[in-house]
Amino acid sequence: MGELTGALGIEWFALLWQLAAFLLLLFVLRKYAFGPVTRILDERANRIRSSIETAERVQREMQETEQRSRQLLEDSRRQGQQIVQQAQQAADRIQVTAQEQAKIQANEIVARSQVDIDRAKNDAMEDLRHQVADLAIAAASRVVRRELDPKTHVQLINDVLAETGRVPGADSPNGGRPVA
Amino acid sequence: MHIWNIALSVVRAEEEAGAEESTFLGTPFHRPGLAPEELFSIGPIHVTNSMFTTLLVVLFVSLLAIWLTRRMQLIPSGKQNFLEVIVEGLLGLVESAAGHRVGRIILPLIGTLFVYIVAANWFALLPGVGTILYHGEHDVPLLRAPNSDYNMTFAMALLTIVIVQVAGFAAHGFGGHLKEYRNPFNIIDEFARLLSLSVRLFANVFAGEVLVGVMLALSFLALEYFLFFAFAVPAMFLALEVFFGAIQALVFALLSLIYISLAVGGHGEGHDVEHDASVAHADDQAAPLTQESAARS
Repeated sequence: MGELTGALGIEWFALLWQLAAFLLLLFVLRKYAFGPVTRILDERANRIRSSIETAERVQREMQETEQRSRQLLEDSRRQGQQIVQQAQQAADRIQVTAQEQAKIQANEIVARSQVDIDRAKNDAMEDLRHQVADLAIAAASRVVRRELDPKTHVQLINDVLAETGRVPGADSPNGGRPVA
Repeated sequence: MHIWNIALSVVRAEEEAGAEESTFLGTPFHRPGLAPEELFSIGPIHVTNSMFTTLLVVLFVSLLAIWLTRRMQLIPSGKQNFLEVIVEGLLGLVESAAGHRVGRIILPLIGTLFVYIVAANWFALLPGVGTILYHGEHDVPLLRAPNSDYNMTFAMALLTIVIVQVAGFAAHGFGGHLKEYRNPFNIIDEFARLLSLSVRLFANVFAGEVLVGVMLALSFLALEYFLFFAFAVPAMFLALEVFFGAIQALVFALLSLIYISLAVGGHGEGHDVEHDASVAHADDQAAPLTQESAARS
């Protein structure tokens, strides 16, 4: 054994020296090469991962935003259409209402005028009857030249009237009876 | 015992050859001995050329690492890319074997093993290593491949095995990891790992040194006859050594990684199958190389 170690030049000091030199290199490389480089590799990997994640998120958000805006546009278009439609309906309704009201008012006016006309006609008929009666009485009294008792008088008038034909005023409430 | 005898016979042959001459075939190329050559000694402390070279490589790699990591930015460019490719590759390897959490912890160790062994092996191929002489007591090369010093490879293997034990204790508790050694073969296993790790690297690099030295010496002798071959042949072997230098670094780092991952992950029956399978697989990868180096030396 001694012969072999001697021939190979194995010595404690040489062994320790080489070990120390190697450990020195190990220390230096660990501190200056492997440490920093693995750190920077990791950092770069993290950076790339986060960049990709951010890009994906941004893209996703963009898609969402686009979808939302499209939805919004669609909604607003639909709402606009709805509003226009409603307005149209309202206009139609208003028109119909106005027409109906106008018709009603016209009818009212017509009805009122009819009533006025009827009343005026009745009044006129009444007046006419009175005058005709007076005239008849006067004429009769002139013709007969005598006084008749009131009962006969009225009877006579009525007979005359009946003979002269019915007047439209006979439809009035007093039934065409002479006003005493 | 058989291996022991082979080792001893190699050592004796080495000693006999060394006694006669310290160069290849009488050329100026230094023939490296198994043991690193002593430059000078301070009292009982012998400072060898491989220690000196180790220090140079460590300083060079450290300064390179510090320079490369200056002003690092999140968006990399130039030199930072270079460093990141290396670290990312190692990180992927380590994390795939040991998982994310443990991988992060042992990355510096595995990475340093790989980077240091590659740097040392390639540094040893530079002109001047083994040829520049230091004129001390004897004329010895000033520089020597660090991994052709058994002290270096044994130090790294020892560190790995210690870390393996620490990882085992950390992952399974004191008793849990100790239970593993009720089987004496597991104790032998640890020592076998220690020896195989250290000897594999040492033998490969040392054999490579010898091989390149021999080729250079032969080409030196052939210089006046075959000028082309004189340069082409050593260049081819140098290129091969560049390749083997990286492969050996990968093997050492990968085996360390597997040993640590097994210590962290695999205890009990179900894991033993997996354990054996991965070790067998790893040794399969290493085996052709060791055989080759054995053939070369």
